Amino acid sequence: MSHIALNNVHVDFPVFTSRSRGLINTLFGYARSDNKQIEASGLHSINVHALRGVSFEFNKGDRVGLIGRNGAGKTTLLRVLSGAYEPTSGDIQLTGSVSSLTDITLGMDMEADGYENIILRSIVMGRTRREAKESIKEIEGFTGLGEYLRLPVRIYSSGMLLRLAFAVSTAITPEILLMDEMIGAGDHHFIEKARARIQNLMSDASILVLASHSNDILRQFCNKGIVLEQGQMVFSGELELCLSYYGG
Amino acid sequence: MQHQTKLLIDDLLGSFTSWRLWASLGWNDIAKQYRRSFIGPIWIALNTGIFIVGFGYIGAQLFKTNLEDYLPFFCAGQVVFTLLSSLMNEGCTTFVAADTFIKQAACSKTLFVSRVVFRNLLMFLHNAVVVFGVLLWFGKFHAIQWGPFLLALPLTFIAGWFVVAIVGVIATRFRDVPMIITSFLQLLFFVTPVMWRPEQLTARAQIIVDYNPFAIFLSLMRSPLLGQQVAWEVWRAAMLIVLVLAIVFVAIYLQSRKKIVYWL
Repeated sequence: MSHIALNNVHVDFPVFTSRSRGLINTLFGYARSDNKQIEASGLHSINVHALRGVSFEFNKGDRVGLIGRNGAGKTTLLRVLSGAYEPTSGDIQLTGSVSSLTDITLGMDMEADGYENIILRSIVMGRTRREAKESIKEIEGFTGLGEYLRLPVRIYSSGMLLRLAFAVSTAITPEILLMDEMIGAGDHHFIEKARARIQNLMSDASILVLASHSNDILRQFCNKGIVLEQGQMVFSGELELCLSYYGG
Repeated sequence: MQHQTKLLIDDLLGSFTSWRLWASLGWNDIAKQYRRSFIGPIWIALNTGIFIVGFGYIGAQLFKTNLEDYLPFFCAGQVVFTLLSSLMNEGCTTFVAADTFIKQAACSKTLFVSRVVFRNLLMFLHNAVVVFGVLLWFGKFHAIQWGPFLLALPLTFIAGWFVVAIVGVIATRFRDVPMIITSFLQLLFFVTPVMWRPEQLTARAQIIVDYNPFAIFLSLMRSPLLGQQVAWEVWRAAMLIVLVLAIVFVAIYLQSRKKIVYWL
């Protein structure tokens, strides 16, 4: 049973200036902390409040669209949900396997060939080597790259690389799927195939959280929404209500 | 604090259970280096071999000893020192080099420590071929004391694991630490008995060998290879260092483990 619950989650992060990033500066800076000028020029780090008191709860079947301007906290919230960011304060409860399709080439190696990359990427996604090997045939067929899979990935065009990354990354369906913008891949022959596959993936996942700036995409895949503004959740509920809140 | 302790234990268990991931990443780090070269992994050993034999000849002249004694001594020392210094150097990029992983998913942080240590173990095994080659050439292979050596090896890697973990966090927060460590290691090479023997120092200068952690682990690993007894004091010092490193590791990670991702 998949379930996500956030209770009053805050995320602060320190932003270090070039001065406070170094050990030498920090040590000698503190030793001379009566020097007002150094203080003023930002010796200490600045804190950015990326999320302030976000609370919500989602269950199986919820397709959540994250809505907000650039810098509103959408990516930060996705990182909190993926578990990469541990909240500064507040609780997060998550049941179910999570897969985040934010960087689909993560773990791939440009010097390795296509087959090795299927294994590398699969292991990074949490599969065993054996499971990865079993999925090779299906992935091979889906990419349509044929003999190219025997060649190092560095000679691939960006479209080919994306096809391979896409095919491996979407080979298993997680219970909770996190996405930052829609992923599209390759030429228009492949795009149709990719669209069908991502739609299946998104509808098979128990919970989907998708951040997007496109109302069409949000309407197509989501039924609920969250509107973020400067790190705060200003509205949540049915998708249409969210979109009209945000638009108006 | 209790919560952080639990999270740290989960992190360590996570590193343990996802050994496939770090083994695969660490292996790939090495494989990457020779994917485009014809003689492949042999390069690693060849590089070490050329330097060691080259300097070995000069060193034997310089210190007026015979090659038969000097070359195995220098070779074993150099290979072990390379291991220790590259653990410190590469420890600096443990998290910085893995930022895309750490920012994308809930992964155990110490998993990346294990990756760096595993990569260095593989590297060490490549270089160890040169040591065994030199020992065979001079007919000293049979003298290796396998028992102490096979105890010293894991102890060194446990210490190395803690060092990588500690240095990794500090170098993520303070970005000038890698440069500081590099220049520190250059000096350390001359202060550690790799090229010269501790007996060549005056009694007063013995202090730089007795209190130098690099010299302690060097002697721990090298003596069994050269068929010499490891003094009990050396074992005791090495275990004490591991204990201190473990305490520092726990103290730092309870404080900073969750901040690592924000520092990247």
